[in-house]
Amino acid sequence: MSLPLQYPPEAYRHEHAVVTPHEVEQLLSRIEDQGLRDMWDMILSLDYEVESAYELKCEERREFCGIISVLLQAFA
Amino acid sequence: MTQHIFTKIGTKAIERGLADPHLSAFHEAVMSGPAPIADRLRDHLPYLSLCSDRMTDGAPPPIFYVGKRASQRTLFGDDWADPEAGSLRTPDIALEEASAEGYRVALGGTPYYGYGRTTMRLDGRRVEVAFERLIIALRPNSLSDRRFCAYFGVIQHLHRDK
Repeated sequence: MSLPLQYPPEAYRHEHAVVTPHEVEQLLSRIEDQGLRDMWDMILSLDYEVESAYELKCEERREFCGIISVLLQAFA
Repeated sequence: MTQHIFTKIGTKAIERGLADPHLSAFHEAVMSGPAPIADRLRDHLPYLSLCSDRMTDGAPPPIFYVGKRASQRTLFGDDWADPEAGSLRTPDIALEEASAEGYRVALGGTPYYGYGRTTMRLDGRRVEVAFERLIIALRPNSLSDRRFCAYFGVIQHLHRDK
């Protein structure tokens, strides 16, 4: 079956490779619990030049969340 | 034989034009003006490793970010630098301990500029590396009570045995 024209094949990713908005919310909650919101905002601004993680494309969001996960460990 | 030599040179050498030009540009950007830190770091981010302010057991603070062109990525590889691999420590424990003093100085409030020369084993191969490094403790914004360390390394010599 061919894909509808408005959805290019590269738009389809395995569900486990996609960071959902709920996972972003959970990460942000942990960041705020540890008082690291300033670091979160700085990385978003510095590396991705956006104000919100929800503005990130799928791959960028996955990469950003990976950095944030390591950040949480680094400041634990 | 593994050996690690670290020598503090001091940032006056940077001001005298004796350091690597890219490292000097990073130093100047960070030390100048009231611009937000993100604006001052942005151009240099690909060359930086960022770590926390937590030093335990004599080790440097854990790393949470390795720039795409950072010297630590050149030395230890993309797999090591992948955040999904949890790259918090460099792979050589003795090198970690030997390099810690620079972070201690930076977190004490004085930017650290120095020279390092080491031989170590990585993936079973002997590696020689010599490098300059500048470590500066920063805050993510001027009002933040958080700090992190920015590490700018420049590899001057790198040899891997075959």
